[in-house]
Amino acid sequence: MNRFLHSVGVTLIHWRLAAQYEVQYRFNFVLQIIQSGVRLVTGVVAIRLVFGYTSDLGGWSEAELLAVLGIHILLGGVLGTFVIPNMFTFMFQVREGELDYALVRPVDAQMFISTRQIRFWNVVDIATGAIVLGWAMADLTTSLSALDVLWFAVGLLCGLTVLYCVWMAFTTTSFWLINTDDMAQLLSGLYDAGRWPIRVYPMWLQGVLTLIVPMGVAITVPAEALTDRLSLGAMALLIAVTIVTTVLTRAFWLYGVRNYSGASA
Amino acid sequence: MRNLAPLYWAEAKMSMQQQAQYRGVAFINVLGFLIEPIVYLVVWRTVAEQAGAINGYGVDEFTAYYIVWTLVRVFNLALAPGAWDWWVSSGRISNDLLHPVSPYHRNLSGFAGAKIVWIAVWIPVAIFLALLFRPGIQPTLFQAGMLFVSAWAGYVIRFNILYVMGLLSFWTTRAQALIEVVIALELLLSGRLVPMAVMPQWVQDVSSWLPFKWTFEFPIEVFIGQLTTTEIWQGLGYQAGWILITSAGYVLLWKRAIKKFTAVGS
Repeated sequence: MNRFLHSVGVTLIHWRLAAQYEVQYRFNFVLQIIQSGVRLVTGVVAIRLVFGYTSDLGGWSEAELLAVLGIHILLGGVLGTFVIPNMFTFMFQVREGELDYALVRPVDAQMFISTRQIRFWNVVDIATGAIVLGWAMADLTTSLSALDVLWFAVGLLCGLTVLYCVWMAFTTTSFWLINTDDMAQLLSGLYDAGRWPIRVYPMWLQGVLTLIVPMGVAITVPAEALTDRLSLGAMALLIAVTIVTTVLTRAFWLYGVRNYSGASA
Repeated sequence: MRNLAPLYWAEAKMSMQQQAQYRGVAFINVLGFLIEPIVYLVVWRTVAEQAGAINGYGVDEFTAYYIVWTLVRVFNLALAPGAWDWWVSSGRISNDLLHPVSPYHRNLSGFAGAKIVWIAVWIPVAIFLALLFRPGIQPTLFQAGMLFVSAWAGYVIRFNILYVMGLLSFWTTRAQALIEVVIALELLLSGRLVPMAVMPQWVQDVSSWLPFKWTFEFPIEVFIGQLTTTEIWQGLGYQAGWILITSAGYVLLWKRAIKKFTAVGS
């Protein structure tokens, strides 16, 4: 327990330092607002275009798709703020032989490399996602029970864990592969597939986005909790996927570290 | 006027060889491009199944559109404007300025050469997509030839647009905000998100005054049979016009940009 609290303390110190560094560059805030605005506008335009020609998409209404978009932007903001900057630093350090400096620290190495940086201004995406979600909820006619909100919270937490694990597992391949930046592009593309509920995709694509790269299910299930569509089976599947990806990611990371021979040594 | 053909050929060949070394990376890149069109394809096929054809686009046309989309996207790839930011601020551009020709020519030909490998990697992917979604189109040899011509022309236009935006880094380190907006406009007005026929009429009118749709939608529509022969020739004329305009933009800006450069970090 003490070790865990120590790691949390180290993480908080890193976040504080990273936030102080980032707020020096205030123009990046303006830039981030523009980027978030662009994402929002293109997402909303795509939905509006679809509903210009049909009243539902695979059974989902416009407000429900807006809720999915809100969760997509929100989770993307959390990834962009807390996860992706760390993953790029990790890939860079493996390539440059600088990872040794991280591995010798007296904290858990996976926790250290996953939490030492934040890109503070990406919180704009989190706020944008929350606003879009609120806007969608105001349009939805279904009333939410306390249980729906609880499932949403559980779904969101599981979704975040899954998304982190997918990024972590892919970036761990940088122990063996040279150019993992391209892999990051692939992951961003897969994440964008979550902008629409995975139920509208053909079965094979649903399978890919649920079992192989479970980014789709991580976004759709929380949205289903808010739109009165959630089945117990879907939630159980998300929880199972979360447990399996967490265990596999940890095992893969440990295997990678064991095989890492330290490029700078 | 200097004969640049040997330089173009040498740079393209070098870039092709370089890319051929990293075939796995090229494959991952092409896979990365697939997700976006497959998502659009599935969504718009569903809409067409529910609502019927939209301004000439039914299930088959949407399917064909987004499969050819993947090829045009590969053709479309050009130097990201963000690269200039680092080249200028780090002073690395000094090395390029020592060469007897502008880096424009080496970048243009280098990207063109790399595309040959990317297109080779794209072919099996396209066959897979065609087998999976079965687009019901039968392009003629003329349409296939014109796709090739218009896609290369589209590449040159897009390359020029991004290059001109990149050159803004000689004046400001904060060009990224403008670049983001232009890229968003491109997404909406080029046909990358949806065929322009799906957009409201006023958006279609605006897009015909801008270069974006000539870089993306035009080559696709040439191939999938959405245009008459006259419209194809007219479109090629528009492309030629945009190549001239954007090239003039590059020439004007480049001369001023290198005068502005004071060799930081060299």
